[in-house]
Amino acid sequence: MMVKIVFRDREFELPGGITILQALKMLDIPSQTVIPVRGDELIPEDEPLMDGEEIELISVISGG
Amino acid sequence: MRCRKCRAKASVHMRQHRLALCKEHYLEWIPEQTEKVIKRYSMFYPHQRILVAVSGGKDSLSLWDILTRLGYQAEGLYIDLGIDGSNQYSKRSRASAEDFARQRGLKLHIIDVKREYGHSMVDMAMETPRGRKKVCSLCGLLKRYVMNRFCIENAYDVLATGHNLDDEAATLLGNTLEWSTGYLIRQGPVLPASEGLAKKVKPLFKFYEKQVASYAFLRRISYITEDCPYAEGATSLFYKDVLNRLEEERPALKLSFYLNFLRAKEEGIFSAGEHTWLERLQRCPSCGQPTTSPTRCAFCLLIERAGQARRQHVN
Repeated sequence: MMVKIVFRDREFELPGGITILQALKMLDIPSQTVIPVRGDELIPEDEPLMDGEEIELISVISGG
Repeated sequence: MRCRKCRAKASVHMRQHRLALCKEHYLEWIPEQTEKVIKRYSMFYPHQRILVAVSGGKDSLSLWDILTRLGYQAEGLYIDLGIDGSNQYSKRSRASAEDFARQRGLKLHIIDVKREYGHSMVDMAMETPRGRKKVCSLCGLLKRYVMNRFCIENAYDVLATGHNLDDEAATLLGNTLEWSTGYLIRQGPVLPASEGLAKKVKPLFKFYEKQVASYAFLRRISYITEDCPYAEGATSLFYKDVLNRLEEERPALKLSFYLNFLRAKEEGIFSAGEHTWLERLQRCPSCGQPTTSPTRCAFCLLIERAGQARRQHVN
């Protein structure tokens, strides 16, 4: 089983059991640029992700 | 990870502060920290009238939310720049600002730039050399002019903007790389009022962009998440990316970069230049707003050039 991560209309599949911080490193996404959410909850960066769950990364960067 | 205050499961972990909090305590902590900043920098007081510059994004709406929760008299100002693009940016951001105000019974003022000045920002950009080169620079010029004028003409005590630490650190990095001393002198969380210029404050300047986004998410503030169609490739976004990659290796680097700059300013490294800049301010002979230009202000020149370009198209 894998964890599904959705970011900017793209989907990534990563192995279960890793933390958000590990997932972001694997995807080369700086942790400061996104908030990881599950439904209406924020997910702490050190929390292990469970097999089969879906996480959304919301971009926090704005400006121009 | 556990909340430092109640030991419940933490929702937010702020490595730069070595602090983890649950949702309930995070939603208390952000306004508490904002209030401390407002007092520490003497930004404004409870009896004063505050104008919040509202873009419909997470920062300005969170700021407005926090100020009203703290009991301040804060009204909003939304500037409709007429940016359409594929995502109808102005329409959607305006709707976010209007919905926010309506749901909370707050007063929102709206200035439609095209209706007020005869040209939308995009029209002006296409009809002037400055705008064709860089639309974003025009956006900043327009917003600063309109916000200041509205604030002064309606006798607000202070203009508050939702700039966060990432905004400020990116601007500081750009100004430092260019050694733009004129901009460095004026950069800070408080720009005092002077003849014709409203006092400007940035109460969220110590919060990382991620902290503000976390607040907006947990507070269920509905904001526009799409980017401005003209922001792609903007230098400020590049600087933010550079700083975020540095922060990844050195937590709290953005915070120390900006706070140490403020400390150096307080110690007087720019004090002589600050005096010179204030002395150069004079009234624009056309609109009466302050400017450092020896002739008319940049805004009036922009409007005139856009008008000339339009007349040439017609003829």
